[in-house]
Amino acid sequence: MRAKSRAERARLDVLGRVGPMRSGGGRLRSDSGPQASPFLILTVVLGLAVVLGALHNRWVARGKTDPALAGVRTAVFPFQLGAARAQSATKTVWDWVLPGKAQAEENVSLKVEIARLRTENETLRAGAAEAARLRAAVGLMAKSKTPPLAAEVIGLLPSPNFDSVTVARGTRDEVKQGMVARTPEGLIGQVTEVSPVSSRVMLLTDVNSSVGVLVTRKGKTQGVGIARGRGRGERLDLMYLKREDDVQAGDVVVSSGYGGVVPPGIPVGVVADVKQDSTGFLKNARVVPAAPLPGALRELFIVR
Amino acid sequence: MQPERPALPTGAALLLVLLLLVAAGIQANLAGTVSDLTRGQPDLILVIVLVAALLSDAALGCLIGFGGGLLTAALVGETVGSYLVSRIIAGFVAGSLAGRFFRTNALVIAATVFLGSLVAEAAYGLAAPPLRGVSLVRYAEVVVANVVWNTALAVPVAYLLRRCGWGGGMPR
Repeated sequence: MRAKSRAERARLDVLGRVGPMRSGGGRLRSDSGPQASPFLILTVVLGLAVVLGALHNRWVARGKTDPALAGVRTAVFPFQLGAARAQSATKTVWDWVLPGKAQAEENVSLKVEIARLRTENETLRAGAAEAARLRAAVGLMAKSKTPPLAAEVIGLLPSPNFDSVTVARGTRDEVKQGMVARTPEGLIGQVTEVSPVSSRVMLLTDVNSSVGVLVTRKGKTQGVGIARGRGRGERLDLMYLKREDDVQAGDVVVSSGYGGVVPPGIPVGVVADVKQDSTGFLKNARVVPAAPLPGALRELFIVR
Repeated sequence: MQPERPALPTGAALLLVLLLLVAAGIQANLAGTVSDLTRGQPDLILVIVLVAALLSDAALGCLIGFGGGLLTAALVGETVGSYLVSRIIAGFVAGSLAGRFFRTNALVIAATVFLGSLVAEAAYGLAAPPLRGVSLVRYAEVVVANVVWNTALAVPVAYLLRRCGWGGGMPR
């Protein structure tokens, strides 16, 4: 029987017996025919979820892209990119409207940075020239390297368990799983999933991340270890240093390249403190990452 | 005769999908910055799932939860099944509350989102327990901050959904 008055509709609605009203607190129902039991629908949808989750794990284990997630990522991509651009534009306008002290301080620090980089550049040029001479001397061909690919960060979804960013480069830009991401400051992480238009980069701070490193002081190696993530905002754990290794706070940590995945010599961070392992045979240290915090990360480079 | 039970309007469903996609875009960018300041972050997708489920029913709540879970899983890229299951259960719980309360009441909406967020976090935590090495204190801090953020956003999201034709009048 059709509800005749608005008041009666409202009363029936509170009792959960009619569908939506134009105003006044209606609700929408999934169909107009006989209703399937909600518990049956719950069971079916949960079953579908479990199957999708299992398929995802299988695809990832085989190093393949999950087509369902890749499709969703492609659909979300324009919105992510739009939001990233809007955020960037807002920041630019904000910085322009409120120049003042912050900008003056930034100018000073940039001038200092430019001076430092000029000096460093000269040193590196000299080193590169010497390396080229030495290579020629031993008859080795210099490896031709594809230049790193700049990638805009369009998403950051930290969770207590995982720490990763999404970048606006995918398979169409020839990005592949396992490629390394870095900034001029240092190592950022590794590409773990790729879809046609975007990729996910697992950050160094992710608890699943570990990278072989060397601890150096004034260019001399002080120790070899593994840097592991401890979650967002946390320092890295530097593990498996030998007891006799002379590692101190302030030493520079760079990638060792021993694993064959991360190229050697990329800055990873700086040693914050060192302590003896509980066994007494090893030392552990904590490392402050060299690369900026994910929140401040707007762009990175994918090393191909 | 059965009382009239109108079908879900296609326009409202499409708008909900669009809202979820926009929320995913915003969340992926803004939420990270927010979490640098407050530890936790709002889960806009979950808030939309919970409010939309509250304004519909348990069956539709499951399906909306499935969509929201798929979006979240696509953004995070890990523990896909856990995100799906937790969002489906949360959508079902919020949808089950529909018809038991006055859904236009702002307090009811906020309380539902609070409860639904807790249910989602608990279900996720059970399906994908914190990994070894993750501080439990920090994990709990993040969960509490997330739930508070979600609750704070419940009424504005409900207002937006109703403006888009999802459910009836505005929250009071």
